[in-house]
Amino acid sequence: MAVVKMNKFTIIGIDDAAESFMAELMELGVTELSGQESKLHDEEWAPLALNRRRDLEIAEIESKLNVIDNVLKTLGTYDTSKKPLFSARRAVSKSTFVQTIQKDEQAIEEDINIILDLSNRIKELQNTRNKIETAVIGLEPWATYQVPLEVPETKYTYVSMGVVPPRVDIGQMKNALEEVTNQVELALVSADPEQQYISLIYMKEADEEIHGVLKQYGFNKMSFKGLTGSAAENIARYRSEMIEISKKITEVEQGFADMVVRKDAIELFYDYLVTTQDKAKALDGMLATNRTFYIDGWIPAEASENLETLLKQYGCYYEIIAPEKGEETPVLLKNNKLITPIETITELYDLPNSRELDPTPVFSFFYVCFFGIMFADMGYGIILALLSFAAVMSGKLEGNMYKFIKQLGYCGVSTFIWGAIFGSFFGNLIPVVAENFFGRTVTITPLWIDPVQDSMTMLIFACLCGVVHIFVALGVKAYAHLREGRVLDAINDSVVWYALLIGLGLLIAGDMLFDGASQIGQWLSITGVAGVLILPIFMGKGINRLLGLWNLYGITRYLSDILSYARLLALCLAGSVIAQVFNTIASMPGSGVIGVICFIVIVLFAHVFNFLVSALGSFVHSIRLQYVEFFSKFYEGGGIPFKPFMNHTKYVKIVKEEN
Amino acid sequence: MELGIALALFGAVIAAGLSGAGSAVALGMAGQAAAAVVAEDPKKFGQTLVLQAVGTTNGIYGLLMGFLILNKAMEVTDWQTGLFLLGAGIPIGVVGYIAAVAQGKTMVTGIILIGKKSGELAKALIYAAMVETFAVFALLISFLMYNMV
Repeated sequence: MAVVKMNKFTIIGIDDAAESFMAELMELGVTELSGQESKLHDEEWAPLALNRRRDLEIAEIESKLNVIDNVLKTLGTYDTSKKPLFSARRAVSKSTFVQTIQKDEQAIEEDINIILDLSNRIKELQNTRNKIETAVIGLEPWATYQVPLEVPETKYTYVSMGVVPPRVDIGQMKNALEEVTNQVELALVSADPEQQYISLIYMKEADEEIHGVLKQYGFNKMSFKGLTGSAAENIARYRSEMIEISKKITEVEQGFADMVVRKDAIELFYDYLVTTQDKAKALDGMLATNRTFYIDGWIPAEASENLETLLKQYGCYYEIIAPEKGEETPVLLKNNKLITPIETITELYDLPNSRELDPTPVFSFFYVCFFGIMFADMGYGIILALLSFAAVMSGKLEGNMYKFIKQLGYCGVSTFIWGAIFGSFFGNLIPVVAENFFGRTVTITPLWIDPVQDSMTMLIFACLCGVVHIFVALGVKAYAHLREGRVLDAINDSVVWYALLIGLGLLIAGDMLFDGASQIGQWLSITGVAGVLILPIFMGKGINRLLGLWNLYGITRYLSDILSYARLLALCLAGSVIAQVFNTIASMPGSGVIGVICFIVIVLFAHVFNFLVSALGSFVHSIRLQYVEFFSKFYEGGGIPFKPFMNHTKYVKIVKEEN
Repeated sequence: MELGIALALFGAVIAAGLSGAGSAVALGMAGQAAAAVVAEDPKKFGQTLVLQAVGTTNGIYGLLMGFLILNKAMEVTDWQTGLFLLGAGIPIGVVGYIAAVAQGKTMVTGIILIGKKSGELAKALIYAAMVETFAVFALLISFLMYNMV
């Protein structure tokens, strides 16, 4: 059970060496630096210490990072190489990393500028293309209109173009116009569902009257400023421009495609900037005098020696001390290799605080076991385990993803084992196939029971699992109390409940086990109840002395907790019965060729569906049993994760050379 | 056909039908909320889908009971046994329906939680799974009744 022990360190060093010292500290990657803001306002510290701000440098890098991020995104859209399902960081040795940056920095920055330039050009081209497209759409209705667009009038007439709503009857409009003047020429050029496009020539002297009529019909004048020649000519010109632009766009795209080879280098540069920025941030946070710097923070006790070596090398003044009793430290979990993946389940809930136990080793077994009971199928187990371990072996997973997938692999193995115990292989696939296609009766004998047939046994077994689980949780609570030397608390919180729960169990069902068991149960229960009631009288003060009465009411919670494990039976049955029903349905089309094809198709779909739904259900309910039933007995949580000062690169993993 | 068989079949209808309908409502609600979250942040698709899928379990409990009752329905010879099987279908049918709808509401807020804060999937899952507790108990009672026949 391991929450890693943390030590507190304080370092004072010579300012000249600060940068290279921080670089090495970063590479060491075992320290968490504390913020020093509060000390700047502290009366004792404030006159001594100052703070060399590096805001400008940090902001500058930040804006560069944003630009590169966009550049990489743009390049990504032109990158035609196949993308893997899990994107892993590339491993790059430290010397290559440093050398590439030294040698290539300028070239990379130039490339970034080229790409930015290309992006701007392509944006501009796309804008122009959009504009032209809109213009062409506007002109198209006038394609048959022969008069040059730039002619608004002649010596005696006005030439007018415009639109009227589709409901306007053009003939009627013509008549109305001819009523006011006889020298007017109105023509319908084209029409679409939204508009009717009309042209109009009339004498200047009739302008006012004509306008009056036009208004009535909702006429809207249109003009094409800056265009010369007929509409058709203009459209043709635009079209040729479009071809030109499309060519240019292809050229720019080709330019992007050519730059894709530089993606790796740019990613490297991005990571270099990230680490530079992190270093700057750390330097920004430290306190300084004219000639020295000051930092403090946390380090895992076992890594203290590494830090000391580095500190001696730099001739720093330092102090590494254990935290005071009860002081909250950052939390880092450490378990053996087997259990480590299940830390993800603990982290999903909450990290333990630094004063309590890491529950991972205790509940790991139950988590994996309960998952297996609920999923319980040899076939599904094999698939889950194979998929998970294959992904783990591929070496493409890192960090929490790696751990999570690996623990799914454990669950797969457990599922297989419980599948064997309950005699289930893709439901009852083998018996169904044997009977349907080969006319033979095959039965898979379960190692223990078939939960569908023997469901009462299974129910009792599920509740017993719950009893064991809850007892272990109470045990952990007792252990935690004893570790702190609180014996009475341990008895009050755990031992009396053991007595009471076991007593009640024996009282109710004990006589089935051996004669006189219910007698023993009776006395155990009475002792338990007495303990629950009496102990708080000695431990509490004032009204708290009566806490026992309230605690006794907790018996109902234990009962509902234990019944809650019936979900082990429910999910187990749901998964296997559904699988069996699907198998039966699949065998209905008969045993001919079509029957076989139908069978395969239905079985594939049905089992993929059942696999996904059951796996999710088993996972959710297995962690629920840990979080709600198990953790509620002793777990506090609320730990603050240990965040070491180290490389947080995004694209490459910097590995140390082996000497 | 025997009255008993008809009654038993009606039990299967209640078990699978009601809880299935509840789950359908739940999935629908969750799906709407999920789509809204994904519109803002497409990366949340996987997480919201996982949460939405939790809503299927109540329906599956009902389906399970329905299948079990169907299995026995054809062997029923008297109407009392049929009525008994009908009764066995009621707990999971009724509680399953209500639990599923309630769970749907919890899933909707859970999905909103995921949308606002990343890394909270586990908590949202647990809230949704808590609702199922009483559907599990109802299934248990249905199952015990079924086993008495």
